[in-house]
Amino acid sequence: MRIGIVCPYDWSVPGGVQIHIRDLALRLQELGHAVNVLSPASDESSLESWVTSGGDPFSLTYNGSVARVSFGLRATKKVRKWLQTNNFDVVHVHEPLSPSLSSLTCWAATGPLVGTFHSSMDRSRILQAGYGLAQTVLEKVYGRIAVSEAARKTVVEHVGGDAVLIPNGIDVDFFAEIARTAEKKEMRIVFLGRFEEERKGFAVLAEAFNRIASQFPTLQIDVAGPGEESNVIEMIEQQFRGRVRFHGRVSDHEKALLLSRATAYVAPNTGGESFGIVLLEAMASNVAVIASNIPAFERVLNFGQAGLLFENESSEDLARRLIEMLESEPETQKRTVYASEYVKEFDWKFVAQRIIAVYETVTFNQLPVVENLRGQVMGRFSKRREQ
Amino acid sequence: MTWIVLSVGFALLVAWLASNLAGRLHQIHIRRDDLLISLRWQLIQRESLISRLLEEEFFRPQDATKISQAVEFANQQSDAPLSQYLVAESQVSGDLREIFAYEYQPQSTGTFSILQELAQCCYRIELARRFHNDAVGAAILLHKRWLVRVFRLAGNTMKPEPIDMDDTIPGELAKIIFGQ
Repeated sequence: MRIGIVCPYDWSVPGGVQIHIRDLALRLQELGHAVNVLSPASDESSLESWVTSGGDPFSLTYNGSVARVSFGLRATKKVRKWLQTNNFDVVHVHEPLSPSLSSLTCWAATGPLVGTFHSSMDRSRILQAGYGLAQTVLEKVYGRIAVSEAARKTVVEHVGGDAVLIPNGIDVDFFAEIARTAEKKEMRIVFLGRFEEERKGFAVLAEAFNRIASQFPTLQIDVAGPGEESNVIEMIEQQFRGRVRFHGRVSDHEKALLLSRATAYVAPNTGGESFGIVLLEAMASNVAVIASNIPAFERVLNFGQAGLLFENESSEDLARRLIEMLESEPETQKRTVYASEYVKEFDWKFVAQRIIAVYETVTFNQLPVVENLRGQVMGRFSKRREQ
Repeated sequence: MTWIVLSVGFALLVAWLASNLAGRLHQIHIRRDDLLISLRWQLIQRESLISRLLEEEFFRPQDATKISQAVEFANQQSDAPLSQYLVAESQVSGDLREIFAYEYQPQSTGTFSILQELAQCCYRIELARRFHNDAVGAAILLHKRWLVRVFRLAGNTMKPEPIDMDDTIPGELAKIIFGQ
């Protein structure tokens, strides 16, 4: 199958959606499909051969984060050219409602389009205001996928209709293999992500650590992710600062090593999360997981069976859960063993199979995705500029 | 003079909106029809895979009789009105679920590969039905627009109806797809 995938966010800055698309594209290629990804790219020199640049991105505040997207006439021209030259059997658009290459693709194309929704929001003024516009995008999509129940709820409540649930995938064997050969675990807690961003909850972890650090004198925190250490280190009390190590941005291999050597992975995120792929990676690395009880994490942890949940934004409850975990090893071990089995259903082996089933459902008549600018103002203007 | 200009402008705007809506409606109907054909195609595929399992003598004798009768009846109903045909196909789904309530051991790798195909096919049936109904929902939304009603933009197209059928994937086959 010739599969086109549209990534809405800057390919050069790794994030959850980009990593999902990269892993999916690699898995599909392993299975013999021809894949091409269209994505904005701030650094075109480092793009893989199967990625097409959709132009320079600009920053946009969206769903509590800063997203780097491409939009406008120039981006529309790139989309049109990409559609015309590739003759795809199916085009898989991620976050079709974001103001990006994704919505532009839905407007410019007709045929078997699949859309995946990643983000979740309780209320979205943008979606409420742009309800009519959102319908013109979604009408084009033959099959809708949501990566989590939270993302599905967002789609159903904000724009109506249905979406099938297909979770994010991970390479379970990759993490399990590194965990098998990793050194013995030390008293270490791991935090992963953009620690400066408030919703990632580093402040909650820092406060909980301050509460229990004297009780566990060898306990340390490993922090990995982009950001300025100096902006958050003051959250840790002076006498404990030497026990917090910042690793900066890490590779997948380094992340797996950090996880497998740790006692626990803590996800204190306070909201705006749709799924929580790192929780799965921690489970596959055979490390205990403690996460805030936001809906997305509750589901990924199978309501507390695969990891401990604490009250969202409560450092006191997190501290209590950390003590519980560090002091009752058999219970923690039992939960970790359950988690390492449970995580197998999120392996790409199963997830990719389900995504391919969606492609096969919408491409049964073998008609390719073609450009169709009927009623598409943006597409028409970009065509005029081209002449 | 101003009134004439305003009236012509308004008429042009309404004409453009109506043309745009008609185009959108047309696209949605194509999408809905495609997905209905996809559903029918997946159902035919399922019957062909069940026939292959029957040829391989995979089922227990009493199960083989039951499922072959259900498949034969569904085949006879394929030219009947859609709702009637889907009732017959729902019977096939129900029988498959009863049969696969126990763990079946595939005798060979060939049989296992047919089972994998059948599992995928059952999943695609569920997907096609849900995607079809989603398209129906989108079409109904547009059908309610006043421009569509006043200018009869939907033409003679029947009001779209969602499909209701039993497409729950049998437990043992679900394990192949979902890994649980």
